[in-house]
Formats: sequence, structure tokens, C-alpha cells
Amino acid sequence: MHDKNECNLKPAEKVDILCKLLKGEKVGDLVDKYDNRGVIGMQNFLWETTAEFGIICRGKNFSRKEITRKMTPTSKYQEKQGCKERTYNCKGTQCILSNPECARKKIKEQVEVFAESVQEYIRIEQNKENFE
Amino acid sequence: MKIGEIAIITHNTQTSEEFIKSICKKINVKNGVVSFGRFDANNQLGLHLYGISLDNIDKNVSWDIISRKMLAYIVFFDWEDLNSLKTINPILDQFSNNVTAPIVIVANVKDMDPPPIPKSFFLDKGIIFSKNCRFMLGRANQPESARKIMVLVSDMLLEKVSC
Repeated sequence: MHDKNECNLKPAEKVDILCKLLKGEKVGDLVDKYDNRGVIGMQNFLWETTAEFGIICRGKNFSRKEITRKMTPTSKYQEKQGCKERTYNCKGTQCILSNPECARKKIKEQVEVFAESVQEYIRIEQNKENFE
Repeated sequence: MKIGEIAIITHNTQTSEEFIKSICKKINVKNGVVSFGRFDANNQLGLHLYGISLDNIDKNVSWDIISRKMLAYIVFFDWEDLNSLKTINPILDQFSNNVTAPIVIVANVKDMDPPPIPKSFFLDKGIIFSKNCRFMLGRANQPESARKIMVLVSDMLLEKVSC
């Protein structure tokens, strides 16, 4: 399993992802560009950034569930892939080494959800600022 | 007098000079490679801003030697021109291994009224990349925006001291 801290992206890679994310461009395809370590780093970075934007936008009402509920539930995803592993084991950090194709597909889906959530938070904040 | 030195690294000379003018009012010295401006807070404390444009310097410059002296780094690229991002990327990669001083990466935007994304997402503490690296949007030639970038640098320095 990849250690979260070992998978940190370089600042230049983060800027690249962030620019695409903030400009509303597709970020899912970046998953194909990175090696396994980079993919996990990208997932971590997007999780943290999306959550940060969510906290700024929703304040105390923010819950990580509002992001995760847009994702395919793990059990359903496993079923679709014909995976017999325990649901708990269906993690990008875990499967990226044993079954990279499946892990990348799952992370790609998640990345697109992060991007969608960030765009939603931007729209909400823009509306707030327009009324201030 | 205590002097703090800050490097303003940009993809072109214009942006670094605009930023220095926004903070220091004028460029004191420029030699084609480095532009220099000074800001004296009072007779006890001054800031020296060195504008270094990557389009003018040797690609093999010894950043590891320069970096030990700097209080902080402000690295600009053009929000509208992703080629400028390619110019600064190698420096950012080098810094991620060698530099412990605060680094603020600024996407220089043409119009901050309104900014491309709401201010609430980047204004207070920037978007956090790591312990010593943040990202924000700003405008080098607008004194108010430049001041906010300097405030973020000061905050990061204070956080570093209090850790």
C-alpha cells in the first residue's frame, strides 16, 4: 500500500491540476498521465482541495458525505468490476499496485466528482458575492 | 537596520517589475537580469525585493545557493497563458526539494474585479499546497492585490516561527 505522505505531488503538478480544475476543464484524463504514485497524490490533493472549498462554502454545515454521495458506492463498483475482495479493501491506495487498471478507473470517477463539486462550490460562492 | 530579502520570480520582466513597483513605488536598480526595489518599513526594518525573470537568466543558475538567503519566494505565472506555467515549473520542482522558506505561487490575472474564482477561496490563507507553499490569484500591477500577497507571505513567516 502506498503511504499517503510518499505520494505528495510536486508544486508544479499541483498548479497544473488546480488551473484545470478552477477553469472548469476536465481533470479525469490527468489520471492517465501520472504513474501510480502520482495518481494517489492527485486523489489526495483533490480530496483536500475539494473539502477545503466545501468548508469555505458551507461552513459548519459541510459534510464529506455531500461529495461521497455523488460517487458510485464501493459495493456497487466492486459488483460491476466482478471483484470478490472485501469492500473494505476497495481503496485506490491498496489496489493501485495489485490491480492498477481497476483502481485507476475508480479514481478517475472520483476525480470527476471532485471537479464537479468544486464547480458547484464556486457557483454558490459567486452567487453569495454577487449579493453582497 | 534589519533587511529581509524576497525573490520575485516571474516568467517575464514586466510582471516582476510591476509587482516591485506596486510594493516599493519604484525600481531602484535594474540590470537586465535582476530588478531591485526596497521598501523601508521604518529605520529598523527594510525589505529588499529582487525581481528575477526566468526569460533572462541562465537555466543552470544555482538556486540552491541563492535560496539559503531568501526570506520568502513569490513566483508568478500568467493565468491566461499556460506556457508561462511551463516556464516556472522547473523552478517550482527545484524549490520543492531545496527550499524551506515560504513560497507563494501567484496566478497573475488581468482582471480582479471580479476575480476568476470567488475571493473567499484564496484570499485569506491561499490554497494550501504544503507546509511552506501556497497558491493564490492576484494582480502584480495592482498595489492592493500586491499587498495581499505580501500579507500572506508575512502570515506564513509568522506561522513558521510559531510552529
